Amino acid sequence: MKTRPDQIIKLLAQKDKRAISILYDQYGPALYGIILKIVKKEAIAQDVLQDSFIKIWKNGPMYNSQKGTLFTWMLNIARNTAIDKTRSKHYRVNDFIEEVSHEHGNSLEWSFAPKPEHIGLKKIINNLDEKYRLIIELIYFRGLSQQEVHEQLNIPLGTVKSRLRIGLRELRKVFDIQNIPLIVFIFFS
Amino acid sequence: MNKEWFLNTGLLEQYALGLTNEEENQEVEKYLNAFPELNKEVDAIQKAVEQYALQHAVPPPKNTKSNILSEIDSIENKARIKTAPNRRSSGRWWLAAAAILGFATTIALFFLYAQKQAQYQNLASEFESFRTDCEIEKQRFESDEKLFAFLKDPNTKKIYLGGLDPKSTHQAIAYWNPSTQKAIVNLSNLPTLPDDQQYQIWGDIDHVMVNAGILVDDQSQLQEIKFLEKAETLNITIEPKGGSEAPTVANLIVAGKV
Repeated sequence: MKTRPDQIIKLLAQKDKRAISILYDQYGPALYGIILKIVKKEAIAQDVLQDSFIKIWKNGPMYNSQKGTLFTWMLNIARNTAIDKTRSKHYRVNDFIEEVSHEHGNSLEWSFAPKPEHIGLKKIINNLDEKYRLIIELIYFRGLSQQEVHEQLNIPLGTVKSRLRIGLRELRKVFDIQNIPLIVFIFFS
Repeated sequence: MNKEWFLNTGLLEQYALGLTNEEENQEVEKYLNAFPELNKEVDAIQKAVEQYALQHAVPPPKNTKSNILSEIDSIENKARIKTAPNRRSSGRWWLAAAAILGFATTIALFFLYAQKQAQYQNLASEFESFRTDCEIEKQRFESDEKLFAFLKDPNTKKIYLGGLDPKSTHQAIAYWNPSTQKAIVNLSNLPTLPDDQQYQIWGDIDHVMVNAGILVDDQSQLQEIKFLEKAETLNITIEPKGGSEAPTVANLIVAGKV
């Protein structure tokens, strides 16, 4: 018997361990995937995932459904914990930006790269202009502020902001398109 | 409130991605309240990110779930121990503190007692010696009183013993009291004798010299001698130390009539 979302939220508010068990089964791998794209190393990613779920358990009573879905709330916790980890381990972010902004080849490891098996998806994301991918990569997966991106890439702050907007709009299109059955999609690609 | 201006700030996208701080959140929520259609934008962005995450899910290492659940258990246990009333262990603390205090006090009191005991002993022995001195003084005073009374007594007769030679300055004075039958002599002016000699006083009874006492060679002293009732004269002779059975008449130095 599957537990309804509102029941899970109730258990979480009571700091009931069972809520964590259910949420881990449902969303654990998704969170792990995002964390892995940020910290890169599996051992560190496991630590971050564990820390994230402890935080989710501790702060469960504070979750407010008006601010967004439970999954988004959990994603934000996982992402923030991962970014903090990269900062504490002295990731050389500056070097990364240089690499990311100047490389055009496929050899570069993008966090924001689509899974190989999602060929159709890859096409669409690859069609996403590089400049949008870069902004999303730096801001979401690297944890840079818009100000920092502006300073380090030497592009106007306004440009940074508009590229984020447009990039996210394009990304939404990707997932809106995904609502169409897969067969039709492959047929058209 | 300008919707276009707001959208140009890029705050909406950042809010949707969870990148905004509390201040920025409040700002965005003002606009969301003012322009409810903007909520759809936020929801759409968040859903896109969720879909992206689900599609790029990676199975975590197998022991991760149990690690998480057991850490939650240990946190809960620690919390339980912390909030439990610490009565027993805090009681133990008080007990230990009280015991140490009691012990320390006992030791201190013991030393104090020993010190006081020693002080008391000191005082006691001092008091004893004072008392003894006091007794001695009392006795001296009493004997002085007696002497004074004796000398003042109208029945006490003063007898001057002088040298046979009228030119002699030798003198002794005897105090003679027939009613109390007491007699005292003072060697007021007699030569100092060598160590092997002593003065001795005699009473003449029916032409027989009777010993009345051996005298200490001290001019300041009033020495008690035997009271010889029937003595007609008193005579002092120089005898060898320790006295003699009979007077050495040749050594008679002073004499006087009773």
